[in-house]
Amino acid sequence: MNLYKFQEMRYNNIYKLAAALSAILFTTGCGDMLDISPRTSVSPDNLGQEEVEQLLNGVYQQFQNGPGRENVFLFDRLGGNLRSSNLGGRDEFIEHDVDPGNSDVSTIWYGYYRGLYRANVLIETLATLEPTDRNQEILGLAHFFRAYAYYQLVTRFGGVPVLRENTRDFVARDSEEEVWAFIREELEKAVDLAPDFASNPDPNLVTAEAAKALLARTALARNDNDRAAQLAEELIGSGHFSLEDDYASVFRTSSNTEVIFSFENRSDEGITFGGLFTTVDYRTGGSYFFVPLDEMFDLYSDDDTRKEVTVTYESNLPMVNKYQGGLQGGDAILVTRIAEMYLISAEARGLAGIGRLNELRAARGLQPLDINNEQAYAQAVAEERRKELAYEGFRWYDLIRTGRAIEELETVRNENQLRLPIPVSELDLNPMLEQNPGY
Amino acid sequence: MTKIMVVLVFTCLEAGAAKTVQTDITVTGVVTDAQTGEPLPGVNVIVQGTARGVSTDNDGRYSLNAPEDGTLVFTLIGYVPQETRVNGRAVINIALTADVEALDDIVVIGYGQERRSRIMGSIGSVDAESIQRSKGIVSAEQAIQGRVAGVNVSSTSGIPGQGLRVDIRGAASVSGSNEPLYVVDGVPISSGTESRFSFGIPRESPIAHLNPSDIESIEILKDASATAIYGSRATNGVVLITTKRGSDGPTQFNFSSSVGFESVRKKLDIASSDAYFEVMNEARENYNHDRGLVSGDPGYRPPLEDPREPGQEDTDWFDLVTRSNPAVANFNLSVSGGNEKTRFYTSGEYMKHLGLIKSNQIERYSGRVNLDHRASDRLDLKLTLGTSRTENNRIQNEGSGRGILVRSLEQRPYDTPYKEDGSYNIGGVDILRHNGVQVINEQDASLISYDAVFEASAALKIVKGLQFQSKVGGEFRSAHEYVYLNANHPRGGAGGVVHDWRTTRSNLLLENTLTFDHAVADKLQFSGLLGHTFQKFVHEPSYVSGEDFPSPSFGYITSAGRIAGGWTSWDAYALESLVSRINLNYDERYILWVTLRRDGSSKFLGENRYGYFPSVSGGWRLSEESFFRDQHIFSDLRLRASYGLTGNQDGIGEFAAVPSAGGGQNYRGNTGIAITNVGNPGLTWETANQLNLGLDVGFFNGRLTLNADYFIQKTNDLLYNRPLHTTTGFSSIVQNIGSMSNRGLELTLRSVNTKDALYWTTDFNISFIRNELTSLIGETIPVGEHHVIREGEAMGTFFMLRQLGIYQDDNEVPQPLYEQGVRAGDIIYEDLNGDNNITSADRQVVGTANPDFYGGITNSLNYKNFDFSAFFSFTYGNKLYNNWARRLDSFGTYEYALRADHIDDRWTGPGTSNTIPRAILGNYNIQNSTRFLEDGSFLRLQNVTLGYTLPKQLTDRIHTRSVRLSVTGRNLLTFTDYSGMDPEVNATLSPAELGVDHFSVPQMRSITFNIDIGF
Repeated sequence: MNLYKFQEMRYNNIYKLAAALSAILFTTGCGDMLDISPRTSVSPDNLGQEEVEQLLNGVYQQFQNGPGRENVFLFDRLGGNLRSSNLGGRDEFIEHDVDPGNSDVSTIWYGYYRGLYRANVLIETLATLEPTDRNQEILGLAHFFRAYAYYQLVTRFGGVPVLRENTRDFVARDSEEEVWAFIREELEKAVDLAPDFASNPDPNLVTAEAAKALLARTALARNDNDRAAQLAEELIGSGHFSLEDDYASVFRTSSNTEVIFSFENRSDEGITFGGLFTTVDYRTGGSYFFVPLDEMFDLYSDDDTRKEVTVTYESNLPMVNKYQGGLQGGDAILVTRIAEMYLISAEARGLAGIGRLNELRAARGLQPLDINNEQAYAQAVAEERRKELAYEGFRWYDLIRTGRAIEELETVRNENQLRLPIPVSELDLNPMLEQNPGY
Repeated sequence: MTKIMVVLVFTCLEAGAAKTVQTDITVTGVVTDAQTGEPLPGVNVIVQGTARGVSTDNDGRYSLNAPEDGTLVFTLIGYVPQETRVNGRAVINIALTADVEALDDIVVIGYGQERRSRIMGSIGSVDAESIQRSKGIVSAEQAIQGRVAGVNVSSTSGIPGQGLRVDIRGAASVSGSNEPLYVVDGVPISSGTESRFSFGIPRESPIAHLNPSDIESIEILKDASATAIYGSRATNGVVLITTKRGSDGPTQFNFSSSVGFESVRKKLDIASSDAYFEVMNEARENYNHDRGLVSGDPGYRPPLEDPREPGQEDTDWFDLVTRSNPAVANFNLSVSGGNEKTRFYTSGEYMKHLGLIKSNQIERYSGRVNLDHRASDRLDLKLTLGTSRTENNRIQNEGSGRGILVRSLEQRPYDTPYKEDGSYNIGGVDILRHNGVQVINEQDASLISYDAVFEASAALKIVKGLQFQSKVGGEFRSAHEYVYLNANHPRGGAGGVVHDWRTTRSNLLLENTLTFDHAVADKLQFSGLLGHTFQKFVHEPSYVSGEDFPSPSFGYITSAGRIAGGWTSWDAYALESLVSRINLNYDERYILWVTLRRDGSSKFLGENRYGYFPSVSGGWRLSEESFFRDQHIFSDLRLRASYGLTGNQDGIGEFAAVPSAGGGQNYRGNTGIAITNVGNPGLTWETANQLNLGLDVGFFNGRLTLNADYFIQKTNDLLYNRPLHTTTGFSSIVQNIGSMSNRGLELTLRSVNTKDALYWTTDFNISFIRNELTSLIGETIPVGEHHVIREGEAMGTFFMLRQLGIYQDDNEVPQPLYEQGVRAGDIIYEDLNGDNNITSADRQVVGTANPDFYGGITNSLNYKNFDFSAFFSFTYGNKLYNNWARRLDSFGTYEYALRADHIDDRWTGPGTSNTIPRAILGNYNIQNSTRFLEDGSFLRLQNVTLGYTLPKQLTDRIHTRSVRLSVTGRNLLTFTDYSGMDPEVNATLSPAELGVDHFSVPQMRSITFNIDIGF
């Protein structure tokens, strides 16, 4: 560029040039250069038929991972199956002195409500689509998950807000009765709509049978014993499930005949929880936060095939042995299996159900029981449940629904401790929510 | 107008030219005031290019030895400096002209520079001199600390490479870190950092790659008239960093080096095992007693067994995990020079800082080339390039929940790191906590980042007073974070875990500006700027992790047994802006500035995308008025006022406005999606308006100057990632939640106390800033465990139970609490709602983490070849929550070690204490409450330096231009009531959660030895 040319120009021209230059500057905006869209997500407005299966996977994933690993065994902590290692420190759940600010509590609450949100989005999306057979099946699955969310919530917190559709509004708690009614309603829809196991023989996917199993559990919890027994018997008699000779295979293989539904919880998608139980030296590593109580070792007789699978000693340290994924993960999250149906049937029918109890005992290498007294029988069923379902998240609510928590657990002194506190963060943010008594 | 400056700068640099040894003669003379003829005492007479100089006595006389053909420089504050060649004269009398503008220097401002006297906004400056003198600093932020009123720079921990919290005029935003915008040589740099692994370190410094020795000046733009030209990123203030450039003259070499040795201010006193068992078992006795339990009862808590071998001594865990000699060293060499056409500045630096915790260190290599080339009378070319490689070997600090220091101190006093066979004691099995020695030994963590900040520009002078500049600039960063927890690490699993993140970040700036400067009339100067800029930030991280390595000596994923996870991601945002400024200056008496910026941001949608940020400022220099000429008290008097709008978009995700369904929600290997971002298309700019009123007064020929600024800033449409009740399906939403105000008074006082042989100056600054949330949607937003955002309160307000005292008798305990096991010796909390129970409903506002006032005072003395400066910083009235004391002072609830000085004061019977509760098991006494809220005020001797410049004769003999030796002490003295290791800690940079000590690594005390050689 010949700079001297500028010198020859008259000032006028130069100002014109400057004006032109600035005009160019100020008008050549790069407005569309500001249109930057995310590359790792899509707009929800575009959700349609193509996304339905993907949304369903998102529901599974949230229910599997969202409530957190602590939640999976929460009822074993609260129910007196576990003590805390030194490393885990003083455990508020084991001590039954739960602070409303406890982050596990808020993780559980949020985990299930977030899952519910996703199930509701799925239901809302399906409502805009053709009701094809598959869409109807998926609708059934969404109803199952809503029921599952509320079963988990009501057994932890008591009555909670029932949300049939997503809302940003403040919501008040519904009564426990209303929550149970909703669970039943949803499960009945799920039994109706969800694919059945015969056409869908995969225990890592929800089926009508899974919904039925949860319905049986719900009926038992509500003292609707006839219904509970009937549903449990239907499942036992369905021919899809049977008690395994090899108890360990229930927890360590994906091909077993017992599991009705479990979250697959793959290590690359799921949550690792073995770290809570396995010791630091264990082959898959561990953090060893929780330790089985000594009484757990005494609970099982030596010929009980469940004993070594449930609790063991690893380098002289007592260790829960059902989940061997350690820090690597990969342990399935069991939701329901046929053994629970045997126990439901045995419990719901009273002494008349002793046959089912003894069938289960036989499968675990034990002699049949001969009991004629209802009370002793109820006690035997309870003990069998504890042994069979230890570390699968049952114990605490079993104690509650049978009214034995205060008597069985030293640190439970009053009814108030039978419910977890509503997370303080929720109370702070939602003025319509009320805390459980005693917190 | 810039001539004065240019001359000044050039004279400094020419100083290096006088190298040849000449015959010295004695020169004497008298210095007088040119106007009055009065002799002037205290005039500095210096032989140019040497450190040789004297001051005139009371009669204005001086005498010194100077080379026959040397040059003498006469300087006195308030007078125009004069130089004269000796030319063999033995007597040289000089008359100095008073110049009220003598203190006037050039200040870098947004998109330009301006004389200090013409700036009517509020800008604080730190120059190269003060950075150079205060040795022992390794980051640019440290150079600002305590130096500028209204700027509160506080460290978050003593971890090397740790970013400092730079708070300009209070928290203006509730979102993000409230960090200012950093602009390095005209390039706004990204605030993102590349650390990914959760080490509990709030943030690395975004300007950690800068070599402080390269810095020519740091300007801190405080009020809206100064910052509004940076528009949507300006609300939290702007820090302009300008690096050194060459000037024509002989080539100069400057070498400097510092070596510093560090130590902790105080160690925490941990109770002995004997005392530990006494308290622990007292807690168990109390527990059993309260419940009427005796041995054998269910629920009975037996006393702890003492597992110690006979004669076993307690373990000093602090010593096990800390270095006995943390240290810092740096070496810096710069070369600069040039001729009329081309000038250069180039430098290289090496810095290494060994942190307190073993294996924690940071190392930096940096290099710089700054070139200026005058292609013709009209065309100036400029290139600025700073590059660096930083390697940061990080360590678990508190905040990650795994801090080495706190976990080590929490071990029971008798716990030991090794078993008899030399293997590690395992946390949770053999000892209480994860073994810090094991963690340190068995992990390998490094964060290596390569950084280049560059700027290339061409400035074309179209005609006199009209210039066009085109600039390309930016920042490229490539970082690699590698964390290997091997099989022997407590979290290494069976075969070890490698986490490997790689990140690239680019920031590209295109800028075209037109500047003009025109005399409209005799005394009326009209100048300004018009420009267009576009800047785009792109961030691409990736991650892969592997597990199951054959042995700890394999550390790359190629040898991993399995790939445990991996992802890649991408995000970006862009800003397109127009900037303009018009300055009107009438006779240097009346000055008016108007600026306007229009920003478009990709973070906002539709109509909300563009924002306009105007400002206006004006000033009146009374001292330039004729009616003011005839007095001798004021040498300068200015009134200033400014008002403007700024914005903020920091802390808001790139795509916060866009509701989105995200992927990665997979199940059974099948793709899953879910609505992961609730989105808020209505999001709009957070804007702040700020009014600033200023007064500058100079007395006694500038011997005493006072700058006072009062400001009111109001931020509206505060952006916040507000927690949501999770029945919505989300835990938070980015929203415009309300408005906030900051108002404050800043005073800066500078005094030249003596200017005889002893030249002594005092700089003092103090700031009083009040923050308040003036409106808020919803009543209260809880933040974390300790804070609340509430209308009428400040950010950083603590929200918790208030301790009133200690129950001295069981009868005092209300029934509901008695039933929960509360007894005499437990804490009386204020029962706010009067329900006789203590619940979360009884939490209340109990103070803030914001100081009532803060500031600094520096005394600098020069005497002959000695220089000395002492710099104190102070902060008063801020509360600090001692979160770790909940564990170390639990007195039984936890089995952690105990603080020795607190257990003796515990309640043991009626009247024994009304502040510290009894030993007992349970949560009641360790709830978040004012029991653990302490006064965080402190006064700290931040920096004290003693320097000695070798006399010319000596430096000549060793063929150097100048040699200065100095020793610097940092943090030598700290006065505070805080019971922790250091009051200057923060777990986070977020203003909403300020003032919590999770037991971070404390600020270190250091002694640094320095040498500066010029040749």
